[in-house]
Amino acid sequence: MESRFSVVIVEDDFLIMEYLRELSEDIGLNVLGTADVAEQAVTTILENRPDFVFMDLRLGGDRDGVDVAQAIQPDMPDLKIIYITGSSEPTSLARIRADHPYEVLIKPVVERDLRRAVGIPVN
Amino acid sequence: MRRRLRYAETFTMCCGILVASFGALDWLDWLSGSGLLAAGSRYTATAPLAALCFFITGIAIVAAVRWNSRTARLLAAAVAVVVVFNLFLFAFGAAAWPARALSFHSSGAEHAVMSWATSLCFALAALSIWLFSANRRRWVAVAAVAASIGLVTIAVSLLGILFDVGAIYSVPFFVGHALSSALAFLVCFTGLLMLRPARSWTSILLGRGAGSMMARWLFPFTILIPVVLCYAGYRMMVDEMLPAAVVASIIAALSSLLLGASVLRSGHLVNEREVRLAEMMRKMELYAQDRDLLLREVNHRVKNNLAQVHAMLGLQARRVADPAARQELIDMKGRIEALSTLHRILLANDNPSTLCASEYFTALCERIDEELGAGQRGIRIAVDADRVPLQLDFAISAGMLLNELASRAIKRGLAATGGGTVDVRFRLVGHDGCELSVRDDGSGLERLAERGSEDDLGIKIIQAIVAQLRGSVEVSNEPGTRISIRMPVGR
Repeated sequence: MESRFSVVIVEDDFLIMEYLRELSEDIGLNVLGTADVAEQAVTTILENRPDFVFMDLRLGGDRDGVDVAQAIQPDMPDLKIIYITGSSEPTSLARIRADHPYEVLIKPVVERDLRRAVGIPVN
Repeated sequence: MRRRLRYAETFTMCCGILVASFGALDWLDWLSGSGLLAAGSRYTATAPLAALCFFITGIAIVAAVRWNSRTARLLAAAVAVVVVFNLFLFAFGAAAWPARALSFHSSGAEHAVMSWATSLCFALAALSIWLFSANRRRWVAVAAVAASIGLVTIAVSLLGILFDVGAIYSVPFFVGHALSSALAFLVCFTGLLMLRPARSWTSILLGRGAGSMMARWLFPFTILIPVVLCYAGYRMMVDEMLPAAVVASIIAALSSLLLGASVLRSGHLVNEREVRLAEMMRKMELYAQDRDLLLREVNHRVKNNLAQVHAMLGLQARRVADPAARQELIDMKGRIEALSTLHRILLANDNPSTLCASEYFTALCERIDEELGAGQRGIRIAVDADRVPLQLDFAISAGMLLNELASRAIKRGLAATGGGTVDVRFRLVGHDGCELSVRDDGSGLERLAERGSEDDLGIKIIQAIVAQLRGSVEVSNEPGTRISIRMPVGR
């Protein structure tokens, strides 16, 4: 499993976080860590240096997913951030677009979406 | 405003009654021969023809308020006839005739017939009564103008009598125009202007708006100020206190000042009003923004909850060993996905109370296609829907229905054959009905018609929604299976 991609999941809803973790492991991703608030997310990502981050836009606390992305940008400019948001509103999407995301997924996320986003083909 | 309009009606009727009573009294006065009014002074006497006209005009005004417009018009026509008759008497020099013919008393030619001013006023009153009952707005406006001209003529006559009786009667137009007639006309025209206040300028005085309140305030001043100024000036000139030119310039300067002040005052009131309105608008905007924020928050919560339920079902499905039970959970997860999709499409819509059937069903089928990977399995979903607006409740139910039908068609019917087309159609039928139909190439929809299929939750859901929408299902076996659901459309 040399070519396994690694991922950190940032999500403030623990149920959805668990579901994403299982889904990720199912499609062969290596989940290095999870976080539910911005500060914790920044440390977890910088410590683990994953290939992908599944990033929720709204997080507990004042700072959102875009703030986290901007905080790690100087250290890991090539990090592929996949936003997973519950809101498909223009304002939220505009906020995400400001960060040049690798991909944007709208909740609820299904296996197919996740596979397509990280580029793992369907069996 | 409505209460004021009712008062205006009563006011007009009282005016009519007053005018008619005056006419009747005066007529009796003439008939009795003693003629208290006629004998009192030549300025207070009203000619017998004028008395007759006042009587008819008064009744016409009452008729216009209380009875129908036809009676009022007939009476107005009668007044007009008397006016024309009066002009003939003038023309043929028979001015004294009515007094002699209609009574035993004759005090002179100038009292027998109506003066020019009186004739003009009666003509205006008759015209005004006639046109006030017209349906067209323009004619009613003409009626109001006629009554206003009458009122101004009477004002000239009354003020003339007030200023200098001798002077006013030296003008041929006013000769014989008695004070009593002038007062009766004042009542008559004021009443007429209140006859249909909603359609004449009097509505501004009676209205509830800020402009009307301001007008009620300023109107008496704008009328009284010039009168008082001119009267005072006239007295000064007569008493030779100041040269006429100086008096005139004082009047000019003072009236400019006072009229200017009233214009400024009304401008100030309008400004104040505008500031208050702007403040209110700002508050309303803030309120609307708050509401918007709240609505977005609620929508976010709803979507988040659906995502949570979806995640829980996903987690559970992975922990169930029995493949059949597992499939049921995955199907349920699919339904929650469908509900989320419905929600998302509804919220992406600019006008959240209705949405376009064609766009909605197309977007929904695209999502079903994506979820089930239909395209990758060689299955095409073709949507053909009328472009009609749908009510939200109906759209959600119909969307769930379509989700069940289309998913079934793709999953069961076509999995076996490994390709094909699913046709989705939505048509309006008749005035308020519609037909939603899904056709597949395989046999995925067949079981829907079978009895005893209640164990299948998908079928149960379809049946429940069809029942809720008061629809009926029809299954036909063309090449493939076609399910049509007819139901009243919610638009």
